[in-house]
Amino acid sequence: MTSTSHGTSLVGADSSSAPAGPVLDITDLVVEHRREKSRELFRAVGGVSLSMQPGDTVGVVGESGSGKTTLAMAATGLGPRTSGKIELLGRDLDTLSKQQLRALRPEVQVVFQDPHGSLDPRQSVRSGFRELRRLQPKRTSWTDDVALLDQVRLGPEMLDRYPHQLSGGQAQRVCIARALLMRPRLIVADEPTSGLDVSVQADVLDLLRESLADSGASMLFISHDLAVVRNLCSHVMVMLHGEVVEAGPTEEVLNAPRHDYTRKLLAAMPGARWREKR
Amino acid sequence: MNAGGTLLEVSDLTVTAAVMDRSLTLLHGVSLTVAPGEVVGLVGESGSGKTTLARSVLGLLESNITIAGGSISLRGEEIVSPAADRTVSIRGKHAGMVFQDASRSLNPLFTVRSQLAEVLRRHVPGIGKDQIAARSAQVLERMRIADTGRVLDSYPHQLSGGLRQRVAIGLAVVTEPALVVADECTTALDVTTQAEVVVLLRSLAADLGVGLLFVTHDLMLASDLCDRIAVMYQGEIVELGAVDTVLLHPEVDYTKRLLAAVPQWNGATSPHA
Repeated sequence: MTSTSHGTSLVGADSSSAPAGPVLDITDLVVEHRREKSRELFRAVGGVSLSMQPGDTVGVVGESGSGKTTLAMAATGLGPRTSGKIELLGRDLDTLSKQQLRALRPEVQVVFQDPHGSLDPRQSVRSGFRELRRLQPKRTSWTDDVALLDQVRLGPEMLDRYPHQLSGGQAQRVCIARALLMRPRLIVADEPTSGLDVSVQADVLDLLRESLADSGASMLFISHDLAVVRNLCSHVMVMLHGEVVEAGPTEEVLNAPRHDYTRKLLAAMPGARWREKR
Repeated sequence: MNAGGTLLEVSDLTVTAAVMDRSLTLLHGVSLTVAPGEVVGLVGESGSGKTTLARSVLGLLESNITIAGGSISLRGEEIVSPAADRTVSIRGKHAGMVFQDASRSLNPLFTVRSQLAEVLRRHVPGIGKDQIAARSAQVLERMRIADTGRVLDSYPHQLSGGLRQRVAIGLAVVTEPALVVADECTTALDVTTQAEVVVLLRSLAADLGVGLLFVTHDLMLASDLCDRIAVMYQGEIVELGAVDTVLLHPEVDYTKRLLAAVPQWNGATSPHA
């Protein structure tokens, strides 16, 4: 991954294994919103560049309002963009027709924080899978629902459940299963474990790690939790006020942070006392 | 305040909830104490009963929930039992509560100044205007709010999330209660803001001798803040002890599993490192 903000190169490329081009290539992305009842423009993302190679797992960390979700939404073509260039799986989003963008969608799967918000309450797990297969007959890899559920460590009895009959952790696993069904090349996960209990979070993270290893997919992982990112991501990008303040291989950045804000984030992590004594 | 001893004593508390035509037991004979100046953490996952226990102390349970057995005493005086609920006499005055969502515990229609004044007028008989103004400003300063004047004249929506939570804590402690119950009061905050609030809560206990019952799902946060930790699971306290003992030498399987689920911080598990 390489990433820059405002033309300052923060890291060298780490592209030892790059069979095809980057899965996601963002150049100088700017997203501005007009604030309510005001003529002022608010810069949610201010000139961010990022190049993700196949197999990269990039963690985007930062506090609320830092622009990490806006960045992810713009990167997938799901959110607004004021300027800048985005190449998703080698295709320039500006040159794609709506139809072409739609054809690209299955290869880029998004997992959101609130799984119940992304599942149709009137659809059982089984009929949800069926619908995805019907919509994307060419892409679906899993022909066996039970095997697919097994991949996310859910039993076959879940197939006939409706979302309200699923716990938060189960529902999030169903969402991940639905994403995997499309054999995505890029998964964008926006705080996928933030609403979950810590033991459930650990399971979901294991699951994501395994799925990525099996499929070779890349992941853009948005999180406020540095410990989670350290466990899951090969690279990290630290955002503050819409800009990237520091980026690079996870261990390099976290072991030797160069920016004050990264240090501040590290210092604010709870559990310092416990980690020290252990 | 009674010398040194116990501030809050929960003994063998059993709490049940009427759900449809059944009765569910939410707490199974839970016992716990908090001393003046002590920070006790109630940790556990969702549904473990930590919020039910916290709310029992202040008599803030939902109407379908009943105290089925045991008791809660504050400074030796029984405030909660199956027979009686005397929490109204201590709530706000001797015990304050801070919730997760500060914007919902503040009245959106009134300025911070008038909300603080209302609490003081209700709980401090005969307090004068000057004293109200002085104590209001003082408590916000204690909350490490720099421009107290602006904050006092603000409505809740004009403040950031971190400031709002500090105001909510200020509101809970302006009457100088002996006990503060905080339920996930930093969960909605950014980590850097959370770190500031933790320092603040610690100083309430250390400087003012406030006893703090701190409910959290975050074991690491509890390890930074608490003197003792009670681990809750399915309505019971499964392990209770000094923070270092519980976290470094857990005895119960459930505590061990919880600790194992905390993301590691040594980088060794990073797949690409």
